[in-house]
Amino acid sequence: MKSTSQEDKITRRRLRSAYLTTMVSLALVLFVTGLLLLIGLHARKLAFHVKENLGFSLYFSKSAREAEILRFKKSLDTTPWIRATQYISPEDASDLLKQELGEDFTDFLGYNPLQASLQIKLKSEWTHPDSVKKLEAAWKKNPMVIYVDYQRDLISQLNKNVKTISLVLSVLILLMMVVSIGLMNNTIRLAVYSKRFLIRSMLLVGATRGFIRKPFVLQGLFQGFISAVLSMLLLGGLLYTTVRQIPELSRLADNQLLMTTTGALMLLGMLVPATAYWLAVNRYLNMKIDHLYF
Amino acid sequence: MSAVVDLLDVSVFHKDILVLRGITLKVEPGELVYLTGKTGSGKSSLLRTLYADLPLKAGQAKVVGYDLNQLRKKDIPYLRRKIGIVFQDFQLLSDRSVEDNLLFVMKATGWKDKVKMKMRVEELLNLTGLETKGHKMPHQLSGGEQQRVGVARALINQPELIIADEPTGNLDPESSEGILGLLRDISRLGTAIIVATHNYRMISLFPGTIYHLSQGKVIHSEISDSSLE
Repeated sequence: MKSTSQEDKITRRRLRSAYLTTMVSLALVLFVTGLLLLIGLHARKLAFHVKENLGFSLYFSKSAREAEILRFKKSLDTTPWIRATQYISPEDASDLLKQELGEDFTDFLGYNPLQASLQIKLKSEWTHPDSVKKLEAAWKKNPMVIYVDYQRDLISQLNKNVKTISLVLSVLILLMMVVSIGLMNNTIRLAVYSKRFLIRSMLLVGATRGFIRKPFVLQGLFQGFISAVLSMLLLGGLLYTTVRQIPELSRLADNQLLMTTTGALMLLGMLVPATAYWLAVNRYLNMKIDHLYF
Repeated sequence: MSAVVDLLDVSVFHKDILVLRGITLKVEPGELVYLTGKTGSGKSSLLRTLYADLPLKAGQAKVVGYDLNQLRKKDIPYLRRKIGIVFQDFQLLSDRSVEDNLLFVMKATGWKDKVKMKMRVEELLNLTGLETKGHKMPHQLSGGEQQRVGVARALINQPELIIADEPTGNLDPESSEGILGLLRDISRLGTAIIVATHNYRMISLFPGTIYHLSQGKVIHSEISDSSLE
């Protein structure tokens, strides 16, 4: 009987060490995932900012009257894809150009050649090249509009880059998840395996499956919580050090993104081990006694 | 009073292999029943069928009021709470005391009131002769005492039936006598007991109904001699 007790102690010690290793490994995986998530979210935010500030200029014919253009502007303002519009009269355009050139170009031309224009900014979700093409065609249907100007290449390049970055980060995050599930699964299966006869005894005394699963799942949630907190401390430390070295980065700081990342890490950290425990216990709940010995 | 176990033409399968066929027997409240037979004769398989660890594939069976033919998966824990199971290898939790072993099973079977739980533990320890052993760890007890804890655990929910699969298989003759005596005393309080054993000396000491399993069926049943009691 004493030897059984000693065996139990050794098994417990091994399991404790395995738990610790797994928790630290999971914390590291969560740290890398958090970092990727932060980079991804900031890239999206930056792309969103750029998209919402892309300028579209609609130039009007000289014959177009200001009142008609303003009516057109008003109708555009009611559409769901417009974020902002600004009317620039030929006089305003001339003043702006004068400021830029530093001289009055109308003096030697003798007249103001600039047309009235509308400066449009779209909502980010409407800046996809296909949407822009459709909008451009719709705007051009108005006989007052003679020309639509915007940076076509920038839009397609921006969309392409955001897509690539999102894809690469998603694949990396997925890879991290596979690694973390693999790590946890091994230790958790070992831990549950060591308790397979306890699970069997509990079933035979009339414990419900939910009652048997509960402490294992709670343990998984606790381990995940500790790993998530560890990963957040690491991530916080890294961000603090980085901002101290490169103070300009603080301009990118966004509390909401930080909270989203923290929440995602906590959820992921707790969900992965809890699910692994759930599955491992279920395996033994459904196992026939003859298979428990192998 | 209706039978605690009522089997009619039951066949017992282990995996897909037919182990026993045509079993018809009844166990009444307070009856002490022995299942005898060689190793591999199907004693354990029959017992496992009674507590729904093996599915009933043929015949009709009613155990502690549950119709095994109609039994749903979610009913199994509640069937088992009306049956106490005593194992050959005790299956106690080695990392907690005797009292905690009992309290753990109480929690697992839905006990909530701490005062009632404490009272029931004391009652069970008294009944099984373990009054002074509650705080001890399983490894500090003898085999016989550990099996008494197993019996106490089986009694927690005041079962109508106790199933003991080779309960004296790991015990010396003196401890075996103590355990079977305890089970006999419990049967006298109205709980039906089914013991799988091939310890005929013990059967002669504590007589009961014997069902002998051989060649895939119950070949005879008899009431063992009570003159030796």
